[in-house]
Amino acid sequence: MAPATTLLTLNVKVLSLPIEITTNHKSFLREFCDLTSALVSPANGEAPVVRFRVMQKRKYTHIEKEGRTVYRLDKDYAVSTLLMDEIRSSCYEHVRDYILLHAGAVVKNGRAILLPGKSESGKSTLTLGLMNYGYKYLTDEISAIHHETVEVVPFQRPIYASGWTRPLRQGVSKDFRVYRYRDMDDTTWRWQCFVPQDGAVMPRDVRWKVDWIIFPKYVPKGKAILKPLEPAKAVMALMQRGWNQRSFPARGLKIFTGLVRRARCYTLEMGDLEEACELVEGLVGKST
Amino acid sequence: MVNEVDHAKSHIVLVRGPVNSALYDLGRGEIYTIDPRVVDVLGGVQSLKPSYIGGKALQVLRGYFVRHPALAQYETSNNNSGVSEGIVKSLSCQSGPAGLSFMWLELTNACNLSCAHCYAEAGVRRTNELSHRQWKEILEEGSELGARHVQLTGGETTLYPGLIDLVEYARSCHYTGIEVVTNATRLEDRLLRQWATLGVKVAVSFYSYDPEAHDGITRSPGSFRQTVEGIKALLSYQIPVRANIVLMQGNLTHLKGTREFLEGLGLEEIGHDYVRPTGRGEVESRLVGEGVGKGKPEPNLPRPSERRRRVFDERPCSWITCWKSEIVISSEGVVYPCIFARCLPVGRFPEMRLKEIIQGQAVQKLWQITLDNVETCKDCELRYGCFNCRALALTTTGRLLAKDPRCQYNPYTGLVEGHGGKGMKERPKIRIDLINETVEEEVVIYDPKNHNLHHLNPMAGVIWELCDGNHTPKEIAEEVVSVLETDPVQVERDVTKTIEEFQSKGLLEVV
Repeated sequence: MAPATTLLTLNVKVLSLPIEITTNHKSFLREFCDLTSALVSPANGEAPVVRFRVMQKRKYTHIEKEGRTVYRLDKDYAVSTLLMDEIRSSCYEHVRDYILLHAGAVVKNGRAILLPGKSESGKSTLTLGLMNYGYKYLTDEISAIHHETVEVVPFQRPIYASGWTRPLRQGVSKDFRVYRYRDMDDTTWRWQCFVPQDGAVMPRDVRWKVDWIIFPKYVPKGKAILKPLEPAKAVMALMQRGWNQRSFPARGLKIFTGLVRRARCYTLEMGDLEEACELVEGLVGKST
Repeated sequence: MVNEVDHAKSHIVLVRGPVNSALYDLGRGEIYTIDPRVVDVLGGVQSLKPSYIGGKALQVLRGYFVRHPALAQYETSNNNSGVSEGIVKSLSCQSGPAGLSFMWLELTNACNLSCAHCYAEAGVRRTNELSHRQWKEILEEGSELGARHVQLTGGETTLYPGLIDLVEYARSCHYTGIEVVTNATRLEDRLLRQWATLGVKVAVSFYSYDPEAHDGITRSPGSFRQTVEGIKALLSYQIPVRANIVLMQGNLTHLKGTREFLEGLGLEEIGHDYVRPTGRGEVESRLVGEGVGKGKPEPNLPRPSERRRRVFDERPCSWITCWKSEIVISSEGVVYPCIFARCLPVGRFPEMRLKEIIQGQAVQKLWQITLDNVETCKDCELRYGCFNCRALALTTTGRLLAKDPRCQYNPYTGLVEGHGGKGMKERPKIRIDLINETVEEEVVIYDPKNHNLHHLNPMAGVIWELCDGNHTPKEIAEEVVSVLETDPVQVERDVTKTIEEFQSKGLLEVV
């Protein structure tokens, strides 16, 4: 295939970070816009802080950040996903008004639940599960907490799940489009991602107060158990789940303490997803 | 973020510590300590898919690595697959029930010498020692439970009347490694002939090239000459002999000379160790403790033992839990996890059979201990490559999960330092740059220097606030007593312990 010559430029903002993406790869740009429509907002003329280029050069696709190649791909495997990863790293470096936390977040009746946890702890699964119970999607991986108001804003990237995750129920799935990915060196479908569509897109200028912090933990074949967690321990756990709290040397601890002071904290052992969701629903339903 | 084990490349493992981190190159069996800043760079590398991390990138990064002085031994042993395997095994430490692989059998308490440091306090034969038939049962049961290595020790093994028969029996029970520990003072020809035919290994304790010093420690004039004759006889039969030099007050400076002397005799495998505070060794250990503190003969860092390295491939044991899959049976049938852990009996033969003891909770619990459970070490980035002694920690501190007292590396400061309150101010003062927040009377502390977190209970929180540079520990204790109205002695002990902990975690200003 002859290399394309037309250059296309996209100026967008993720949280408070203006980004410029330049590419000569049309189908990538279409896919990227499709996947991230809920995550990015128009840059409104703000000068970009980080510049990316996605260039097709002979048989390789290059992803460049600030003029430096970070990926050279010999097939079009998940170009958008890798670029999103890079954008996410840039957020850790540049975003200064939000503390970014390794946590999922959902909202119901105007009150948000934060689901912080390590990888594989069941954040995305629980987030997906809760959506069947009338919760709205804010994020499944990165919770952006505003540094002054200690409120959470949507960081609505697609929800990634390995193949085994139960699909959303009929009523909810129309709000999400399902993409499937093959593994890089595998021919089987291994990953699926749920892309929020119009019905699931949350307004980006609304911030939500966090009323519950639930630390999910996947316990195979176990029962679902919900236990209160001491506030100090919750603060410790949140500090360990921060992506960029090193940019907040003096204030990080204060922000997390503020978050914990106004929320109630629990740990949730999840064996059965349905049971776990019922427990969360019982907790939230009771107090509303 | 702290203490997570990340896999950068399949054979490169990054283990994060509070200050420094360590990179384990499992392919080459090397460990590097790395600067926190480089960890961030590596963080970027890890987010790439494995196929994108080229060998070149790693080579570039290597330029940043600081080789840790304590790890010199790992680096010199590039070709020793045992080290790398050890790391792999301990990283993927299985938590299922462990089987038996090695037994120490203390055949008798009788001994013709009375060494100053003897952990078994050997000397006179005890009245209730196990019978010959019972030792055979132990060998049988051990073999059925999977043990393939056995060490016959004592007392003095040659004073056990049925030694020849028992060695023969052990061989018939399919033990592949049989080692007899002896002082080599009374070896008869028929013993030597049997050992040479059956491939038995022999271990001899030796103390000094100076006959007087040696005899002084064994408290038996003439023992030097007899032991040297014995070693010569063993070598003439081409029996593999291993010598161990136990260092204490009487021979602390003789290590080099003794080593040369033994090498001159033709011995190849020579190890050394400091006296352990067990049995009669307790007094000696205290005497040496002072001497060692002043003129430290070498950096006291835990290190892989020669013995373990030698038998590593043959035994399914974890690198870091020294006593895993091992038991000791004393001459009276009491079972311990280690010869030096005599305050931790786990059962008694023949009232309990070996199977019951091995599968019992007490033994399994001790065998499952890894450095992930040990105080301080659980945060240390070097914990998967470290060898340490639980028995020594227990006998010197009274706590089973205390840090090995020989280790002077403090992972919270990243420095090798003396232990025990050194460098502390008379009036302790918390570091000015620490950030703390109180949530429901509990205090959470964030250390911006190394991004470490600490959690204090309400009592420690009060002590924390009083560490302002104006109070001595005693005054702090008085203050606490005036508020809490509890036992002043207990409070003072708690305050001292808490302040020491602040110190060890690098939270206090140093002089």
